Formats: sequence, structure tokens, C-alpha cells
Amino acid sequence: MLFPTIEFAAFFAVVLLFNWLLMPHRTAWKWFILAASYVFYAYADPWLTVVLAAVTVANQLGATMVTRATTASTRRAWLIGTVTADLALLGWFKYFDFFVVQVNEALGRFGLDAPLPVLAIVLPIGISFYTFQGISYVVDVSRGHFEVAKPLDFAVFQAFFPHLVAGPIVRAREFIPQLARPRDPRAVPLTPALFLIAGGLFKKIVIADYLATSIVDPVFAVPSQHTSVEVVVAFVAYSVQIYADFSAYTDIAIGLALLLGFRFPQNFDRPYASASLQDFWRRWHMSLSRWLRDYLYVPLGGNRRGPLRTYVNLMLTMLLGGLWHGASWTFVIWGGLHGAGLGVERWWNRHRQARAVAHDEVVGAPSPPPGLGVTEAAFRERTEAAAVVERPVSGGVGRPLAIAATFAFVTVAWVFFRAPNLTVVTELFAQLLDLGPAPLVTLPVVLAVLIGLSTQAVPQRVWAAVEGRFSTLPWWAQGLAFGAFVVLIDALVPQQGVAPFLYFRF
Amino acid sequence: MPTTTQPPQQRWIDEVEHPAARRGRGRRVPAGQVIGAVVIALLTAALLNSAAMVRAGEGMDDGVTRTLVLAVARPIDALASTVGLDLPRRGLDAVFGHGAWVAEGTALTDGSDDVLDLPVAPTPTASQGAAEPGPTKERAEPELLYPQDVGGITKVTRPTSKDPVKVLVTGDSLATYIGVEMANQVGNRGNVSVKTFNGTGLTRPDYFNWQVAAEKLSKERHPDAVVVVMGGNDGWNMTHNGESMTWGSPEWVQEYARRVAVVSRTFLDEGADRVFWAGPPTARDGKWNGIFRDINAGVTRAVRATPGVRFVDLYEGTSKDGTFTPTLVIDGKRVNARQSDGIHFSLEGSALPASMFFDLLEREYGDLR
Repeated sequence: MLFPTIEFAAFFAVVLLFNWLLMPHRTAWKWFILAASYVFYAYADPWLTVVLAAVTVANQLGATMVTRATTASTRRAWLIGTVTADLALLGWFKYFDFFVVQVNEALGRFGLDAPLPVLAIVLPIGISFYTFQGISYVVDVSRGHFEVAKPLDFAVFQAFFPHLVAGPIVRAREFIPQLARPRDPRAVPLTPALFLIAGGLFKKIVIADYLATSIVDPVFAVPSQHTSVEVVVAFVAYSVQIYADFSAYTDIAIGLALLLGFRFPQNFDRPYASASLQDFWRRWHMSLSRWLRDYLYVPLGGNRRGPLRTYVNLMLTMLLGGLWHGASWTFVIWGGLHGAGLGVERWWNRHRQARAVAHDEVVGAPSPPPGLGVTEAAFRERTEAAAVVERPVSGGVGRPLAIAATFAFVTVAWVFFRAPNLTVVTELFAQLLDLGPAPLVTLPVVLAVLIGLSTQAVPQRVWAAVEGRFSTLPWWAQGLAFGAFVVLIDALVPQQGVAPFLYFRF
Repeated sequence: MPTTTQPPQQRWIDEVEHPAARRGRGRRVPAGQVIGAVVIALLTAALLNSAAMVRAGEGMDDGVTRTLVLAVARPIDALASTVGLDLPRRGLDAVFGHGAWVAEGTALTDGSDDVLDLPVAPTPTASQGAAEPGPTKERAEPELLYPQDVGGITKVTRPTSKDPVKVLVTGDSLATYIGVEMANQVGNRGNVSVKTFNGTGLTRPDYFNWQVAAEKLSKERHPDAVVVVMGGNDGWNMTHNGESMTWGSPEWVQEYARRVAVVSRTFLDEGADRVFWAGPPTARDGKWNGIFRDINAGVTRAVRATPGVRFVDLYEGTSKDGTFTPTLVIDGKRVNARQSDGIHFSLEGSALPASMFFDLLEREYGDLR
């Protein structure tokens, strides 16, 4: 069920009503929300719910057995077994055909017949998100960061429909405590929720879909028919498109969750205002970044085993992060580019810090504040990049240049992310030399790109001020205004309808 | 850094919570007002957008959802149009040009079945009225290669290196990668342009009228040959002259054939020499496979009745003995030919359909690749 559709609007209206009616009755509420979430998921294809249920059962079983284990080796065995099961399921659905094609191609080069069949396995929507949520739950339980939840609570957490199919990747310790007591029906943040949903619809339909159909899709489909200016604008437009599309979904998801009384983590924080790649990964798909840091980078050793191992860990993390997005070498290369970029950045910052040390400018690692409930080592891992290695970019033209350079790097990397294969990537870059007219670069396209980029520069206080004015309206006037806004947005939907959100395919 | 006595889990969410939610802490309303606001928003949207709701409902699959949506949307639409609440949306549609691809009173929407009668001699090519009027087309001797050409068809002009044949590849999303691959295969030796309209088809002319699109594309691009790949979005019931036809019925196939014939003739009347039309290939899903088989039956019927139109059988030609296969052997190499939806060709897999089109194009225009 796509968010901006009639079916979802009707579905959500019913769920919203019963959500608050049943809220005082915890168990009934949980069963209702669980059923509603499974109905939401089954709307696309009922068999998808079997996969979701299987992942839920497997992870809850794993977490329970980890807790009950009496020896460290048994605990570790259950942890590894559960994580392996999650990754195996994800690997089967997402990577089996990719693996088969690669093997068959390799054998074909030696004149051997292809032994493995391509099964054209259907990828269950959202599987990348809820398997990662399951893994984080089991690992957090095994580390003692979270207690094993009640089965119903965990099932609700896994299936909760606002974040089910495209994130944010919520952690059990961020959501399940919110189930412990009824949400306060006297204090629901209506205005911020409506603004998030309205902003998401605007970003998706007016910015993302428009740029996709107007310039990105035509240029990436047939590069040879487009000139250098069109190719460059298409590159930038795709950077805007993917941000607008993905952040739109998570904004809508966060807004819907707020209307239901629940809080989700932030997932984007003006990523194109980043002055470095490290900064970018603290602002882009934040829930995935934090997941990769806590469950991959840190277990690999983080930066605790010397500079060379740090670079290896960074590269591995980003390569796997790229592969998470899809079974294609272009995603792997995209991840590799970011891994290499982060490594170079880290080396450069170390080099600068070494010189700064010589001039008595040491930046020390902070200690965690008391009562936070984490060890010093764990806290340092979380903040080491910001506290130890990264030094602020100097003022003047330094910061704008750094932002521009970071954006340029990220945009070039996005080319690999978007292109269907390396041949198209090659053709696109070759067309940079093809000077000529650029009929696709119209004023509306340029405006859409500028509007998309300008959202990165608008401070939070501006949004807060606009929200503040809107919140002074009575609740019925807010509803009226939002309804009129929906009509306006729907009028902007092209004849072909709203395209699915980009991250549905991951 | 937080130094309160909140439980660690609470501080986790506080650290990472969306700033909008943090701002909202001072401005909250009771749940009843939230429900009221949402209901008012939906009612407002429904009243001001009722026609779009009806269209959306009519485009859905038969089932409970469609029945419910139409049961609600049609009365609301009747009320809204009576009191003029549909005027703001009509105004917005006019401003944003949504009417550009639909039209009433066209042959596609209101025409008769005559278009499927036995082939007749093609009418003289109409003046294009554009900045570049094309050369006068010569009548050819009856072509024996295709029975539908028995009445005589336009003679094609053999392309030269300075004047290559202009091929337009169009249709729905099925056509996109095929067009890309055709452009790649012809390289600098030819002129292949690709213009596709995702999500469109012949079954919803109230949503997107392909006869109107054919006229616009012809005036814009003046193609010599038109390649059409379409049908991936045509699994809907159709209505023609007040009669509703369920997809898969003989009447539905006949009506689909009529619409293919109308669009084909439009391209030809607007100056194209030939139209090469393909329905969808086999699909992994059984239901869609059946729909696509019927669509191809309709296309075949239309082609038999329309001079100058050729059928490219992607359904049989890219399958394994008539059944879906995810892989194809292309240039001696087995490739993953379909995307994960089990319908669209992958970029690598599009090489075979592209070649199938070129095989027929080259019969008429000579070597193009």
C-alpha cells in the first residue's frame, strides 16, 4: 500500500480511530495494531506476511534463547545462529540470482555450461529493513543493552506499519519502551505530524517524481542521446531526487507514527550541507549509518586496531552497506567509493591532527555523562570520529568549499547507484564531452533542483516558526488546510500516477 | 550532553528523535481533535477531488476495494459536481496541463469497429502542417509479404547515411529498455529516439489517450517507422459505447484490437511509413500471463486488419516453448533477461526484443545496424 493513495488514506483513518479508542486497553491495542500492520503488508501480496512472521519468530526465539543461555559459548551460538538465519534469508531473496548469474558468467568464460538456474526470486518489500531490525534486537539483547521483549511487543515492533517497508531502521530499545505504557491521548503533536506528512508529499511528488520523469530517467535510460549539460544536470537532479524521495517516505512515516502517539528516530538531517563524508554519513539515512556503525564497524574493530585496520574496516562496512542496497556491482562500487573517500578523509585528518599535536592543539576523547548506561569504550566508539579525528573546517571560504566538494563527490558516487550497469556509467561520463543543446534542462527542472537543494540550507528555526504560526489555527482549520493541500498535491501528480518510493526496492 | 535521570532507553530516543517531534512537545492536542482533523482533511480532499477518486477506483482491480471506493466516490462526485466543488480541481488541472493527454470524442474513445474490417487501400498521407513537411509518399505495388497490405501501402524510402530512417520507440515502460537497446545497436548509423509513458495503456483513454499521444509524437518527431511496445498496464476492464467488457472476454480482445488499430492508423496517417507493434512478453505471474496472451491476441487481430503495421511476437519469441523464462541466450551468452517483477526485460535481456524489431525493420528499410 503506497502512502499517497486513497486506499491508504482510508486505511489510516480507520486505524487512527481504533488506535486511540483501544489505547487504554494495552493488549487489545497491541493485537489491533499488529493485525492492521499485517493487513497493510499483505495488501501488496499476502505471502509476504509469511516471511515477516518467520523473521519475527526466529529473532524472538533467538533473543529468548540468548537470555536463557547459561554459558557464554551457548549464548554466542544462539546469537550467531539467529544472525546467520537473518542474513541467509536476506541473501536468498536478494542475492541468490545475482550470485548465480556471476557464477554462470564466470564458468561461461571457460566454456562451461551454466549449472545453476536463475530463479527470478521475488524480493519481499521491506525485507532489508526488518531483518536488520531483527539483528539489532538480538545483538542488543546479547550485549545486555536491552532485555528480551514480550513476544507480542516484539511482533508489534517488527511489523509496525509506518516504518515496515522503507524504514527508518528503528531499534527495539527506541520503540518497545514506548509500548510499556499507553500513549497520552491528551497530548498528540498534530501540527508537527501534519507538517512532516505535507512536506513528505511535496518532496515526493513535486520534487522527486518530477525530476525523475523530466530529466533523470530519460538521461540515464539513453545517455547517448543527451549532451553534457543535460548529463550534468541529471547527475545533480538525481542527488536531489534520491534525497527528496527517501526523506519524504521517512518524514511521512515519522508523521504517521506521531499521530499514533509514537516517536521515531530522525533519518535525515540536511545531508547535502555536510562539509565532509564523515559528516554526510551522520546526516544521510542516519538509522542505517548508526546500524552499520554499531553492528558492523565496531564489531570489526572500529578504529581500535591501528590505522590500516581502520581503513579496512571502513571499506568493508561501506562495501557491505552498498551491497545492502541491491545485488549489483554498481551498488558495491558506490559503497567502495564512499569507503575509499572516508579512508582518505580519515588519513588526511590524522595527518592534520599530527601537525596540530605538534602545535599543542590536542582534542581529547570525551567521557560519557553519568547515568547514560554505556561503557566508556562504547561511548568513545560512538563519538570518536567527531571528538578525536575530525577537526572543524576553518571559516571563510573553507566551509562552503568543503560542502561543495562533498556534494560533488557524493553526486558522482550516486551515478553508480542509479545506473543499471557499468556500461551505462561509462556512457554517461563519455557524454560529458558531448557539447550541444540541452532541451531537457528547462526552467522548471532547474527550479525543482534549486528548491530541493535549498531545503538543505533552511535552518530548523525557520520550519519551527512556520509550524508555530500554523499551530495557532484551530484543529478543524488545520484539517481543512491539510485537505486542500492534498488536493493541490494530487493535481501535480502526473498522468501516470505516483511512482513507488525508491527505497521500496531495497 | 543529557544529565537527567531518565532511563537510558528514553535518552536514546531523545538523542536521535526527529526535531519536528521535539518542537511539537509544547503544542499538542487531544486525540479526539487529531481524529477530527484527519477526518476533515479526508472529507475536504474527497469533496474537492471526487473525480480523481472515481478515476482511481475505476482503475483498480475488481474486488472489495474497488467496490467500496466507487460506492463512496461516485455519490460524492455527483454531489461535488452539482454544487461546484469540483471547479477548483478542474482549474488546477487546466493550469498543470492534465488535459493535454486526454480528449473526448476521439476514434479511440468513441469510434466504431469498422477499423477492423478487411484491409482497404491506405488513404493518402495527410499534410503534416509542421515546419518540415515530409516528402510525398509513393504508393507501392501490393506487398505479398504481409496479407494486410493487400490494398496497397506507402512505399518506404531507403535510408542513406545522410538521411537515416527515423525510428521512434514508444509505448509504456516495457518499451524503455528495448528502445535503449535499439539505440545502442544502431549507434551512429541510425536515428532512434525513445519516448515512453510509464503506467499508460489502451484500456484507460480517460486517463491517457494514446491516439492523442500518437498525434503529438508524430508532429514532434516525424518518425519514418514507429515501434510500439505496450500492454503492461492494460489488465483492466474496458468500456466502449456504454458497454462494459471484462478483461479476457472475446469482446475485450476485440475492443483491444480496435484500439490498437486506431492508434496504428493514427501514426500512419500522421506520416509514418510503418508501425511495428508488440504486446507484452510472457509474465511469471499466471494472471498477468493470461492477460498478456489476450493482449497479444488483440494486437494480432489489429495487425491483420491494418496495412503497414507489423506484429512482433515478444510473447512467443522471448519465452521457452511458450512459457516464462527468466534467462535468455543472447549472442551465445545466458543472461538474466527479466527484472525482478517477472515482466519487464532487463537491459541485457532487451537485446533480443530489439533484434526482433530490427529483423522486421531491415526487411523494409535494408541494413540499419
